[in-house]
Amino acid sequence: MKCSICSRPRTEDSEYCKYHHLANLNLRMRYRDWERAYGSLSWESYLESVSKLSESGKWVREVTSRELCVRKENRPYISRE
Amino acid sequence: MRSKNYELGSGFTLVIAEKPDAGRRIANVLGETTHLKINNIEIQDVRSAFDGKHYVICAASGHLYGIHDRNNKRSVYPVFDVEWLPLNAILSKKRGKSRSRFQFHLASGTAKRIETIRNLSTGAQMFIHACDSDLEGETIGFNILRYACGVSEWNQCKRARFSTLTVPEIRDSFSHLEPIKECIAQAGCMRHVIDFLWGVNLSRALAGAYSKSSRGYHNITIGRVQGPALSFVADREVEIRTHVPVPYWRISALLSKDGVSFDAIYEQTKIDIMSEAQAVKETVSQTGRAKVKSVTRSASEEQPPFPFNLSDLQTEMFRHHGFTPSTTLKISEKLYLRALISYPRTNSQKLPVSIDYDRIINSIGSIQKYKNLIEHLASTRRHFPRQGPKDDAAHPAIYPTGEPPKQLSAAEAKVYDLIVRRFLATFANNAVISEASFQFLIGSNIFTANNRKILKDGWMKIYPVTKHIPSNLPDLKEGDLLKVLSVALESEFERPLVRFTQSSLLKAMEGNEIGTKATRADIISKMIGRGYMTQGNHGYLEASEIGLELTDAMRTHCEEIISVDLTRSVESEIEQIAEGKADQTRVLDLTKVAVSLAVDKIKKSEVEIGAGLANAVALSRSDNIRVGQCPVCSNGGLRIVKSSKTGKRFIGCSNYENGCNAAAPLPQKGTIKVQTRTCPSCKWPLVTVLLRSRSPPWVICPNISCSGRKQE
Repeated sequence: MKCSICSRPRTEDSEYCKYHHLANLNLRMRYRDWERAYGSLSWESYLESVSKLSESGKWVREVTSRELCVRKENRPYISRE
Repeated sequence: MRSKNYELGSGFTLVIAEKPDAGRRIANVLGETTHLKINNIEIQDVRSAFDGKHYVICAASGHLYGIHDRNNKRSVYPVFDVEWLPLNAILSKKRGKSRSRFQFHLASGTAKRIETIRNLSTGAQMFIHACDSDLEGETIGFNILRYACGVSEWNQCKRARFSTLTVPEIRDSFSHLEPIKECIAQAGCMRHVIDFLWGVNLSRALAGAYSKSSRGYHNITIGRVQGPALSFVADREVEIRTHVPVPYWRISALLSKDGVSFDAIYEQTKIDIMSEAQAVKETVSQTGRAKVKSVTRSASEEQPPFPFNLSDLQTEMFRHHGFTPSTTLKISEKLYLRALISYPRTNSQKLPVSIDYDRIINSIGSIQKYKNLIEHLASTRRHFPRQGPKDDAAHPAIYPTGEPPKQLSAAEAKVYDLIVRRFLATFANNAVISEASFQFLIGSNIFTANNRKILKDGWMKIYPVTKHIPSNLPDLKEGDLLKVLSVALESEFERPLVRFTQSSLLKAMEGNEIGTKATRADIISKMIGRGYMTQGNHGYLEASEIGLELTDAMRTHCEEIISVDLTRSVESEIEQIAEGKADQTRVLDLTKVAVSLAVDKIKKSEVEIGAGLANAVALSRSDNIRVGQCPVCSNGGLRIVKSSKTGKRFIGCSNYENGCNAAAPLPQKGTIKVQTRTCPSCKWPLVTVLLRSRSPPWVICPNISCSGRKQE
């Protein structure tokens, strides 16, 4: 099975390849830091903010774009790769 | 230049130089020279040298011999049966297709050179090895003497060692010839053998794994130095691409006294919680006045920099002029061959007294451009230069010889200028810098500001420095009151690590003792050439798909090849061979065992490794042509395709064979870049056309049926 974002193979128990999986893990880990920093922050707002930042890594931005498409807009993710 | 009817006679001393330029220079220094061409190879005949001897000089052009696999079959590995062969013989064993025009010329040139040296050796009574005085030079000369000249008794050979191609040093080295140190040359040869065994076996194993998955061939190489260097770049790339920035806040206050305003920073430079930062800002804004709580003044001395070794020179040339390490090395070698600087491939940061400091400084003083600097130095000079910690048994640090430079190109002049300035700076006095740290109380919050001033420029006037930017704060004392003009709360995000540049990668390799001063720049260039990394804006190195996958595969299946420990242990074994402390056969046997184990590991997982590499190669090939997801069928990908019939490019869907006819024409001129945005009307990906002229980039929706396009 291929990664939901790129053509690399998926890792076990994940819909992502090893790199996007790592980006996804980082994204989830950092959510707490963001929540703490802003007081309260919804998951969607967090994803939107991260996806717009130039400091965010390329694979992180790709994961956020996919998560936003799937969760918020409820439409299939169109890969840019 | 003579070529015919010229008798060299016999009983002369044959001198082997490393490069033709060096041969010419040595000949001119030794005495009156007749320049000849035999078999189209340049030779110098010095009949009445300064010491009354008859020298014939013939130069190599780098390595004339290389390591070769006796079986000569690319598909067979592991390979342990190797031999030294002339480069022309190695190249002639390559298949016709894989021989480039350059390789053809290299082969014919090498054959002629070896034949000429062999013919000359029959008339020689004695041999002098006058190649560069490092491990590579030692190997080049040693191989020529044993294979081309047929020397087996090393008593009839001597070694001329010099660090500059200046008259006194060359004459001195020829007056004090040394015996050939066989163990140093053997160490150099052993390094080549070890590198060949690691490189050829692992590369063949990887190419084999790749072909199992893709049924094709792709040149995938790895080596004991390349592996760890590539992993530095790849690991950094993964860190950058998976970086999630965390927000933080900074507060600064614009303070003013006597009409002079400046910024003071809140003592906690990073505030992690927004509400806390806002509370501080509010309090400070309401206060309106600041009081100087404390003033700490100090003066510090900054010592001059160390003399240049090669990697310092490469780093500084990149910092000041953006030269890549390989460019700096090439130019500095040219300057060395013109006797303008000492031998550049050195690790040393020490300048010995024997180079005669005063003579060099006086000679530089006679060059118009440096007159003012020498005058400045005269008033502040120390007797001995500042010495660095690193040492090199073969050569001192890089220094100018004092010979006046003539007809330097712009790039050569820049390298020469930096070397001269660095050399002079090491003799200059310390710079004195005053520092003042201020603490301000705004309400109960503490803000700080610093003031740095250069009191005595010392060496800084000679050598370009960019890190000292003087700040201009008013003269303040404890208890002074200031106005708070404004308070700023800035939201920032943690930045990812900075990508390596060629220069910083070279420094990292040096810091981890990977490779040698002579090979590091070349290895970086090779990795870029093989597509393991690309050099983007400002020279930053970005690991490619193949680079990332190769590193990951090696880390999972054969970690030793990307580990710095392997390359360090090889270097230390080579050093021990050079010192005569290690047995060559034992070192070689251990290498063979380690290589066999590594090859076995790759073979065991070759399906997995091959699939990863094949996917990475396919990804990197399509990186440039992929436009985006097809909005018509939603399954295929839009790609830039070149028509086999007309040769024209257009966008087509990869799902064409399954009936998707999505296609769009493209401008035939200019570079096409894919935008991250899609067309708001039709959702096709937008593309930018960059023309070579200075016209601005042209952003278009390629879809000809786009409603937005029709409205325009």
